[in-house]
Amino acid sequence: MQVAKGTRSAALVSRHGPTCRRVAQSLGAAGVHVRTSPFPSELPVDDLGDVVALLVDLDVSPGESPGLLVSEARRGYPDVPLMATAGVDARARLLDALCEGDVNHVIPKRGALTLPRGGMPVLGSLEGPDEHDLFAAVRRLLDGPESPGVTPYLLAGAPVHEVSVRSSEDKDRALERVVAFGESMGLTGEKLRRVELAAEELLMNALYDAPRNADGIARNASLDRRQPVALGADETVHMRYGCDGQTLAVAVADPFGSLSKKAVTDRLRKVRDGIPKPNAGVAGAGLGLVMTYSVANQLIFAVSPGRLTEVTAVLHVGGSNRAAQERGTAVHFYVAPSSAAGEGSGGW
Amino acid sequence: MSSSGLRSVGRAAIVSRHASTLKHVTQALAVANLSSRQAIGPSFLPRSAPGEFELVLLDLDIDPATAPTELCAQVAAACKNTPILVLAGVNARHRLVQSLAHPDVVGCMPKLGAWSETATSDAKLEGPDEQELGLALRRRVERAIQPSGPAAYLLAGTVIEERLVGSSADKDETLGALLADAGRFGLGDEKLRRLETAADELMLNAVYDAPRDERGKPLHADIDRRTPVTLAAQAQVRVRWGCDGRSFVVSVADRFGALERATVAAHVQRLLDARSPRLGRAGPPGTTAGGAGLGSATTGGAGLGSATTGGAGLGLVLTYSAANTLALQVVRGRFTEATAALHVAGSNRTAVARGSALHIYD
Repeated sequence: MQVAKGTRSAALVSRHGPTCRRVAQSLGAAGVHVRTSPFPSELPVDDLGDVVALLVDLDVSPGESPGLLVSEARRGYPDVPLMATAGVDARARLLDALCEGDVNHVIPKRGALTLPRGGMPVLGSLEGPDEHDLFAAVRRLLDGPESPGVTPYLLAGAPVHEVSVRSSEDKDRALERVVAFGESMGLTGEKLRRVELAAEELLMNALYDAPRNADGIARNASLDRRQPVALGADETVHMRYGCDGQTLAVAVADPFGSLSKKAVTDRLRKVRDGIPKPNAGVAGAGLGLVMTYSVANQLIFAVSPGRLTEVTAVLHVGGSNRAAQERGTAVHFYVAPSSAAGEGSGGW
Repeated sequence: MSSSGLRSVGRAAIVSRHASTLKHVTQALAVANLSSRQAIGPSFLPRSAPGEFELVLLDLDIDPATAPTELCAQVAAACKNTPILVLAGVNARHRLVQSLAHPDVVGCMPKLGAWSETATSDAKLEGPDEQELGLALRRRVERAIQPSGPAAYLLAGTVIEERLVGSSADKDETLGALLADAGRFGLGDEKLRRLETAADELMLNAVYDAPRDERGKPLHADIDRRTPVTLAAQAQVRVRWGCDGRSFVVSVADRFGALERATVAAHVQRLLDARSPRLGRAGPPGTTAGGAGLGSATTGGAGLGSATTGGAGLGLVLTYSAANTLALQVVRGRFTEATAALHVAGSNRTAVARGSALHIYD
């Protein structure tokens, strides 16, 4: 079937029924028509209209390296944003795809993290990727890498709170505010700890890792994290947070735009390769990102180099904490087109 | 450092002693900026003046052996003229619908995992869906004076489609457009049928049942639903829908604001009738037990009996059964907006098992 000219479409490589259905529903809801192929080699290359994304289900060949699968699918779509999903050995294979390919979006399938590592799924136990996660990701691809804060991840109209931060003391007060917000939501124990950890690490990154001097050199990155810092009047960091009862999201935006995908993936490799023990207060280890990855259900990076970095952590707080953790972590990376090749090492 | 505050805008009372329910409710109350006062039974509620509490959340599971209306009456005695939103896990379907007989009940919501027939007091129950309850509470606190539409039930940024319906022919055309839209998402037949039922019945209600003359008398309520009608320009019906991949939501607003809470309650209580299409064992002619046989409702009404001759309220029952949430917002004499939210993620069976919540904002 040929897609009408001007129609936004996406190509999907999958032969997993629930994945095909969820992708079609979520992308369809975002106004994107989905063409599905069971193998990367069978992807149509010239009749898809305006292609907004290429999504590869790594489970089409669990024995094959994610990089190979992705590059095969990539052939006909050299410039299209690339997404990957997986259920089998999901965490490791999705991180491989993110770290070693030009995949900018990875989304685990629901139920994937309850499978034994390296184990084959029992058919029917795996669902497709989270539909809200996919929907929000595609909407942001269509809207561009701006700074929407937490809004795209919450039900429309959910109250959003904002705090401005320019110093370490502000950071502490902002963190207290987020924790109080979490407590007011009835969050306790692990759930509250996840929220606190994510918010703190996002703020620490914005205060210590992100700031640059006029030459683009990191200003505070080598400082002990216990040493107070202050930002200039035009360097204010904005934290936004909100909750719709089921999803709690925290976004921290700094005006430096110094974060690169490479800096993120270098840190995330530690998840795959084993996390070294942190030394209290020591800068630059990148462990903050690893810890945020381990507590969030989505981690979203939006970068306009030299202008803005916004990092958003989305946490599922409905139901049990265990169920939330088993949803795994999706990672999304949005970079302004003019700077996609930027290799800045700033921030995480 | 600047910030927006976290001040509560009001208080709600919770009558429950189910730990999971209390957790879920607390999260939901915070979404609406409501603080709470918990009681383990109606007799532990403080005597309060009308308005002291925004509402009372009553967990019917505190005493599964007592009639829901009796529990509601005990709450009403302590908190006079205060809206009651009931929750239930044990025998949820029957007890939630039964509770609507009490005039103070403005909403009912099943706990997660409670909608199956086998749920008993021994079943491991979760609380109500936090997101759905949070939204319901937020709407109650915000008291919108305009039709809210489907947006609040969807992720921010979801595209909302809109049509104006001025006649029964427009209704058919709009239903076709809505279903074509849903078809693009690859929804399965069962999901499409639920959606079709909800959308068609809401629009039929707005076109045939809602219109009134200057004296408030129904204009088309007695007309066979197959008879074409045309609405006056100022009586056009506003239909909006959207989908965020997880929920498909359709809102239908008429300009009469004539729907009464008592009417809604009476109609939904038909589900307790053994011949009802969903709760009862034997469905009416043309339907099958278990709620699957709703298709005839949208194909000319065959098999719905009095539904084709209007005013029977079966449309409301069918919509409530097909939707996961049915919200009715009424500003008397100005508008009635009915919003049906259907869970479309995962299997249709899972979606149906989430049950049906009802909320009346008037």
